[in-house]
Amino acid sequence: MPNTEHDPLDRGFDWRLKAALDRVTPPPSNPRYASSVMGGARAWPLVPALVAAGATVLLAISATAFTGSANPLVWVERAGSTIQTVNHTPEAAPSAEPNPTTPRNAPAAQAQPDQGPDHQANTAEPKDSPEPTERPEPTDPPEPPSSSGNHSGQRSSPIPPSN
Amino acid sequence: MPDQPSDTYQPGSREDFDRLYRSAYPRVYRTLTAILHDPAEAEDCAQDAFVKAFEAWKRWRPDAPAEAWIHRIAVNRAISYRRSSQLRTVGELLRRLGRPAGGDDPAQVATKPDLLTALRSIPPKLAAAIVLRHYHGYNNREIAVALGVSERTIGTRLSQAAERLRPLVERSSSEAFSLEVSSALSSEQETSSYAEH
Repeated sequence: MPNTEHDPLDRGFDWRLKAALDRVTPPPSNPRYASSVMGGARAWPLVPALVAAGATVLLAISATAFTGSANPLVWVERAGSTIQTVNHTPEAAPSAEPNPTTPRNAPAAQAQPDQGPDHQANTAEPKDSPEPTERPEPTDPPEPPSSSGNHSGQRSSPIPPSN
Repeated sequence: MPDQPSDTYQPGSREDFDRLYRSAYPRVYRTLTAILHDPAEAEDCAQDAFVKAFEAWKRWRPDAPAEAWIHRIAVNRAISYRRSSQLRTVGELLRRLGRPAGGDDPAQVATKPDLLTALRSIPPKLAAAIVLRHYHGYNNREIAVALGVSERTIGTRLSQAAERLRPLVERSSSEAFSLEVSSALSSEQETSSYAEH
């Protein structure tokens, strides 16, 4: 371990170093810190502008992805139609909601929350309803067997030609 | 430590920082002159250090001397500057590969103070310890506080710096004598400063 307080260099070194560095004079210059704002506060005024710019870019990207068009007029039209759709939806909604004045719908509407998901599944897929039978639609009549094995694609007439 | 008492500086006070700049900037600049190769680099790093210190001035705690705190920022800045400068030098060397390597301008070498040249040839951490100890008069504990390392590390750095500097200083002493003789008639001021030794 080195002796931490021992001067490894002789006293003349101190004098020479002092003489060398005392001759160094800093050039006259304005302090650079004077043009900066303390505490890094110079960036704060830019924050609202940066946030607004970021929000605008995000909005533009979202609108482009939603409408599939980069035209702002398309965005406005689509937004208007969406707003109209949202405004029309509450008008149609009351018919689905339980109406206390109509006793015919009330029990059904009240019974819905008490019934579990099984019932919802049942209502979604009623068991009593007949399953749709998928009958193939009749297409072209089957071709009569061709004895000649003509595979040329030309349809042969079932009636033999009369000479 | 050659510094005003820490309680005379109020953290966050612009007037106090101006006062600190006026008292500490020349000393910090001289420290960086011994570490870096170019006075312009020293000025750039010193100004950068004061900008960083000014940005953190509100958070400065008076339990540490303000000038030591500035020195710490400045020395770290100089170390990173020299590291990047060495990388640039390597890149420049690779670009000039094949050309004859040009040395320093002989006139510039002749006018360089030899001791500073020797200091600039050793690692900046060692040079900083030497300057803080032998020029600014810090003791090892104060250097350790200033550079953010242990006293033992400072002792090791001072010993390593002395080992590296001793042959350079002895050689530069003889060369300085010959340079002094040759430039005695041209620079009376330099002659008088050398005569102090």
